[in-house]
Amino acid sequence: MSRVSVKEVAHAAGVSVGTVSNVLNRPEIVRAETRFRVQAEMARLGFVRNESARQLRQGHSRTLAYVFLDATNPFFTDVARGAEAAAEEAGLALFLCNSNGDPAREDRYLDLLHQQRVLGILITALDYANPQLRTLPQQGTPVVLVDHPADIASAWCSVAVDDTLGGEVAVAHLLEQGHERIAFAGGPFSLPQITDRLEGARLAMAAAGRPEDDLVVLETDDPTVATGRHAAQRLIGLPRRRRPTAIFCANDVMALGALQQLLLAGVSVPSEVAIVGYDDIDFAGAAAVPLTSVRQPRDKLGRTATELLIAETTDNGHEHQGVSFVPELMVRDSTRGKARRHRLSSPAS
Amino acid sequence: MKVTVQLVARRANVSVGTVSNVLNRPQIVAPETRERVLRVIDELGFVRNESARHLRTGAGSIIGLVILDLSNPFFTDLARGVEERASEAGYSVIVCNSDEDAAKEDAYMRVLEQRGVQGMLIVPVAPGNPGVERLRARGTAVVRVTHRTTQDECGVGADDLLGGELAMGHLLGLGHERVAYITSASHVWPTDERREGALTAARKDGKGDDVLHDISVDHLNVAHGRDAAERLLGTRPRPTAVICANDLVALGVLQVMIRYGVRVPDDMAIVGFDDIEFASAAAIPLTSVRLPRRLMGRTATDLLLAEASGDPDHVHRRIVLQPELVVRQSTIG
Repeated sequence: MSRVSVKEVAHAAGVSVGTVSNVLNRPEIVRAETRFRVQAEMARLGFVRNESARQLRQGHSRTLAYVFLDATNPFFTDVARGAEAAAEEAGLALFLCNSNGDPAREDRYLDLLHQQRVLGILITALDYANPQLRTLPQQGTPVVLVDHPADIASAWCSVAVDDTLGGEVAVAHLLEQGHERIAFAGGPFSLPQITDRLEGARLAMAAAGRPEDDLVVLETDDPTVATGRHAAQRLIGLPRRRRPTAIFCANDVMALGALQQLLLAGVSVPSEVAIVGYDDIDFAGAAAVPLTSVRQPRDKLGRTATELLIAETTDNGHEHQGVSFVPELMVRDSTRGKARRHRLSSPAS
Repeated sequence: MKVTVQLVARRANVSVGTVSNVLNRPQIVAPETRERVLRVIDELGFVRNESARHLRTGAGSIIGLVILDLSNPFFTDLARGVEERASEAGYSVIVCNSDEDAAKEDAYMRVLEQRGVQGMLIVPVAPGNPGVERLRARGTAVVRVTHRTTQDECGVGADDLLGGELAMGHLLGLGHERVAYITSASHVWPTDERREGALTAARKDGKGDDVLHDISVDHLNVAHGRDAAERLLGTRPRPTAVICANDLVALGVLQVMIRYGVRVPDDMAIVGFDDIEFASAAAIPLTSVRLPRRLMGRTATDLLLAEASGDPDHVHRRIVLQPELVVRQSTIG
């Protein structure tokens, strides 16, 4: 019989893994009622403490790091949580480093992590051609690229979601809904995640026989709530006759920004402008108009990347692999036909 | 007295090489021996000197930040404030997620200490962690970002009593007489202070404590907010308003109200805490008690840098930041 894990105890008691750990290590900080429930489940399931978790507690500084682009985007924090779970199972600590889309900061982190001799680095990078990044593996710090398409000649492992397919699925859905002119909003175009999604959008237009300029590209500096708002403002500013009736945003936080701006301007979603986002973060379904979005398995991306990294640090005969996941379209009200009209009750009314 | 590898080896009755193996390649040491050595390391308070192992560590330019929940935008906003201020001062920030787990918090504190960081900011799982005192005794500057004062130390927090009072005062002013409070089942969050503040507002309004009806959840997140909302709807007599201990819970409650066709705010008014960016973008924009998260992060970093500077005239400061009620459609329609 397999060992009962902390996770199973947590699930049975309806609490988080952290709470179970607190019951084991610092019971005084857990409310009595919760503590008793967790202890009862431990007894019932025959739980025995696990050693690798103990190793982490002992503070051996065997550490991995994840360098990513934007801590305020739930996509990255969800990937980080998946990475953390896999690291913890292996008794490793995980350092989180937010480059905040700043190349100088990214370089500083890479330098620092190399000096610190971390076991390995997971990275969603700003510039994959950066020599500082490319030379890390030769210098003894293995690197796994997260959210980067597989590269056959590559000197590293990578995990990604097929973003071209994701873009294709999103725009094919809008075309099926009867939209003819469609906007794509996103940037910077130096990020392959963004250009792959745009490429997918173009493929879907071509497959439907639409002329190329029916896809209106709104390039932005970065994919944030603020640039999403700005892209929607530009869309509203287009002459009505030429205005796209749908907008595909390169990620959900942009889509949420676009949604805010459209509602504020009294534009009805989806009847006047439909919106598709990307990532399917938790907030997408809870938005003013629940967002249709291309779901990425974020937790799995983080987990798989970490497992590849650990394999690389422990296996001498390691061969690099690129793992690709298939995205899934989640259809919600922001694209659903001429359904209910969602208007923000404006302060004036 | 400095605890050396030699001393650990003697006490554990093993060779220096074995201690080194426990530290560097624990997997090759027999479990019993490993346990014995680790126990001695703990008892003696041995800290490996990482910098001695590297010629150039650069760790002096790192600030460690240990947060409770990476998925909560409250903490990522706080981290931005820390990063902004740290970057201005020439430091890099490494974030570690304790996930509300005291053992993980301790582990990250040790890992960061071993790496010789300049200082640590910790949003603590519990007050009075002896690990913090040990860190300070061994020379690492620590500032706790928390509402609780337990001792003479630098710290920054928010006035949660006032926050609770603002939320409840607003609802009472709108005529609500029965208010639910969705709170945390653990002591990790400042939920008791917010509750106390809410009761203060009730008493000022001439009401008894029974105006507030507690519903507790194990975690302050969207999913548990949905569960709490189901229980709220089953409560008789049903409250006409709910204060949620954070915005994630409030968003979960809002989803359930919309699903069941309960009109917000006519049949159920909702107030959250934090005012995260998604609060204003919700299906019905949320009224929320705003906490100045970025400023908290910046202020905590200032305090840490002052403390880490080693100034002999350093005087500990505690800074309490003021919350602000942001009123939107979830309470005033």
